[in-house]
Amino acid sequence: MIGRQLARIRSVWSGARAGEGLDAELDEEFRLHIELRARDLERQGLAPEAAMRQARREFGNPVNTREDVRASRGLHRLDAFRFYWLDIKLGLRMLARYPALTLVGTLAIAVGVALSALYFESYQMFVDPRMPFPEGERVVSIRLWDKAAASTAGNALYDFTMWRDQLRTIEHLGAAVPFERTLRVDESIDPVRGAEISASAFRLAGVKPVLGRTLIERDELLSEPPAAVVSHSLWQSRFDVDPQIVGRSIELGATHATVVGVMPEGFGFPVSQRIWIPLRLGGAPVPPRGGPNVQIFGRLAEGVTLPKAEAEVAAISRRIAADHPDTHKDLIPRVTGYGKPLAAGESLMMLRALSIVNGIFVALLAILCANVGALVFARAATRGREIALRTSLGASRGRIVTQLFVEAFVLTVIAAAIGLALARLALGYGLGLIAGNEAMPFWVVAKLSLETIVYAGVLTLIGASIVGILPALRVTRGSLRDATAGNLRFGRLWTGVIVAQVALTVALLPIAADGVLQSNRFSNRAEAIGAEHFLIAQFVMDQQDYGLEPAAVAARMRAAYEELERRLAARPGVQAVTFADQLPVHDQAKYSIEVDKTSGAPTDALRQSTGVNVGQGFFEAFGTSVVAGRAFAAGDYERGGVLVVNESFARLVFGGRSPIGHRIRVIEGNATELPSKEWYEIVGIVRDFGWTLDVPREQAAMYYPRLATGVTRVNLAIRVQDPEAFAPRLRAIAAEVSPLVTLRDVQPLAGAGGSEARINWALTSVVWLVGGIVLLLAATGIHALMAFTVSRRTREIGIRAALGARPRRVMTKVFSRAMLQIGLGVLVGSVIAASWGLNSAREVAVLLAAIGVMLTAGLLACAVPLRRALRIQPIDALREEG
Amino acid sequence: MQAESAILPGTLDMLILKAVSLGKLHGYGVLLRIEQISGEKLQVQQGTLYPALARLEHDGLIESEWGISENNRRAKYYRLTRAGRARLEAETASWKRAVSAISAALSATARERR
Repeated sequence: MIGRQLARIRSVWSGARAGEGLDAELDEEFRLHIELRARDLERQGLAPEAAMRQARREFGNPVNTREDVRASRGLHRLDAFRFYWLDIKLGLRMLARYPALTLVGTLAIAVGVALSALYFESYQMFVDPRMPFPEGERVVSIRLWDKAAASTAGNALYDFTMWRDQLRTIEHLGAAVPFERTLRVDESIDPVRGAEISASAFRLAGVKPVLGRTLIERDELLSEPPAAVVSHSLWQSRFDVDPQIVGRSIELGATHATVVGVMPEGFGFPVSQRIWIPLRLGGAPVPPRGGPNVQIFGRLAEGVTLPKAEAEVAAISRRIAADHPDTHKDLIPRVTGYGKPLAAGESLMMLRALSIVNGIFVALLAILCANVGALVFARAATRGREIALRTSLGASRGRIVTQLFVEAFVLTVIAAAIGLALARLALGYGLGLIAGNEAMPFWVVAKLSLETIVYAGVLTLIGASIVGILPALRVTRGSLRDATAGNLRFGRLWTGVIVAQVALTVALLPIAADGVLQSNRFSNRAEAIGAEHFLIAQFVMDQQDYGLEPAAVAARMRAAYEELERRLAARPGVQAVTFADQLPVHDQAKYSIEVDKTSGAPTDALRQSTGVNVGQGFFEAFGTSVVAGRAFAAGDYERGGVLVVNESFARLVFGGRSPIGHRIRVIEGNATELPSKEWYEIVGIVRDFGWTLDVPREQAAMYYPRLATGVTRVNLAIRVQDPEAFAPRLRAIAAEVSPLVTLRDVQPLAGAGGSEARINWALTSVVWLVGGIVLLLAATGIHALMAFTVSRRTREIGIRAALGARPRRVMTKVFSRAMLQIGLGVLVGSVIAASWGLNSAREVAVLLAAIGVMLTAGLLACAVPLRRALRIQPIDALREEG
Repeated sequence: MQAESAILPGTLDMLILKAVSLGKLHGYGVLLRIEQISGEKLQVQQGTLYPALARLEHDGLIESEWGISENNRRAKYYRLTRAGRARLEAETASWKRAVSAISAALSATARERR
């Protein structure tokens, strides 16, 4: 019957909610009953006191009655798991009583929680972000996916105009063309990131300006005066928070504009833009797949779902493809939540990689919790008498499990709080590192979201269950006799945990050590090339006129670069000017290569090399010279088809034969940087320089001649006496060459690559931290196991000693298990480390060292209990029988 | 004073329902009412009364509210619910059937056995 079930639920619910209040109500009811009975007894002639006594006797024990009442309301099951403030106090007291356990446990769980929370937060930021706008989850982006090229097709302006006129399911459809241009404000010349953007973007965002107005549709007309909206940070950094900024005229690249408004802090749509000018499509109609690369965005209309919108976009695109099969037959439109990666190709792989990382972190947390749980278990086992006593005083099993759980819960909650604080710190630091000189997307902020905190909370609860409930169930499983007799054993679970930790330690320590050695590489590199005399910058040219043919754009860029080079070279104090796509501080691109068969190069030799595109004068600028063959001639830059390699390349790829005159080609690598399937002739050999790596096999390098046409990145390197002082002059000269030229990240070479070094350092510290904690836990776990075994087997050991067993035999008997666990762990860890690659004798040495550290820690952990075991006298064994 | 007898097992709930069906009562009142309507022949074990009341309330057969007792104290009064009334009628009918069946059985004579 439903009515009856409802009444029951109500009864239990009100009982559970009333808590202590329920007992008070019952007591009141009982008191009245006894008083009324006493009055009746008085009427029958008893003296008042005797009547009261009699009434009480008749009623019986109110405590029992109360329990019976609770039971008949179905509350007794609830009572067993009710925890009280007392349990929390007991928990805190336990933490204080076992400081070592508390410290190790808190630290381990805190780091586990911090890693998991960090992972979760980054996942939200980069994979599943939500725009910080009203109903931000309804903002979408539309991209064209090119099936044939397996990449996004950026030049979608034609499609955009079609969508804008026809789409009904997506509102405020807009497009943006991001740019980086030189902004001149008074005397300061600095590049700024901005976008030509549809006015609808501001309505889509629903964000109000703090000063003036946003862009409006009128601004998109060619007849209107050019308007610009600036970000809050630009207003602060470049305009000194000028309250009169609205109406001010600015110079942006080759154009002028009037500032009409300032956006509030944190607004950087579409990504990390700081200035917005209207996107004007009023000129000639855009041909299919013509125009610049654009970002297209909109907001889902009321009640429209993402698949529905995608279906409408696809329908329109099918019509476009039917009209323009030559340009559109391979294009598929994709509608995704704004800021989300496309679930295809690389991003799909990234998603998989992320889920693997997540698995690793959660597994790590589980291992850490299981170990802390085992330590708690070892401690709880020594509390067998306390538990037995409580049980015999009437505490139910549920009650005792609850108490042990609350103790564990107190520990994990403290650890989780520390872990979250750690995660928040690390997040801020990590984002700073990743961003380097660039700005993060505006929706990425160094704050832990509510979702992350809830996630951490759930992990904490699960962790507390692993730490508290499993050991508690085991401790309370046995009968009373078992608990006092200490008939407890460590399970297979713990063996697994220890083996896993030993393996992790052995596998992680070499990575951590490698990170330290890597950091040397960064400093060595800078020294070897005399980095203190170089100023570097990335040379970028704004396209501005999107009607230009690619060849014209390339010619214009080359002309601008050569003009800049000429002007710089004419400056007194400038010793050399050159460029490369990767300077000796940047990480290099690696290529798989093929060598022509006639060269006689050993077939089992290396078929891998790094490749760098270099401009004229590159080798001279960095003070190296050709040791065999010839350097690049002027014609080589125009024609290509030739390579210069370094000495390591000649040695490793050609086995010491002369590579000059032989041909190689690239099989695999980044196609835009060094075209594959094309044969290159090796014309010269240079000394190894710059990118000195610790691993000899990675030192092979090849250099390809390039002009500054924009096919590869143009990273300028200028040798001057004082790079720091020359930086403002460099900017001024570049501005003279053309307003379209922008120099990004102007900085001394000595300081560059610093962020790479810092990222390396940060990752290395994390690996050290995790490795260290796992090592600590493994050692603590082994120690606890040993101490536990010794204390449980004191009698046995004593009797054996009395019967004349030799100490060594006793030792092997007691410690064989720990040795087995350590041995198995070391084996598994070595296999893992080996599968990650052992490329040099040094890496093998590092692995051996890690094994050594683990074994030492393991033996030390055994030492104290071992000493105790060897000192056990037969008399102890007798005393033990309590 | 007449000899009082203990309540048959399983009949306390029915008696409580009957007692509160005659008007709302507090715990002690239920006890007195049962004694009164049984002609002082039935005596309720005081310790079993309150668990029984809680059980009946838990099952939604009676409901309670706080009121003022005859000695001007706060007291919890119990009252029959509609479900309780239905149950009381059903129990009464089945009790009567059982009693008549049992008395018929007990008054049987050898002649009828055949």
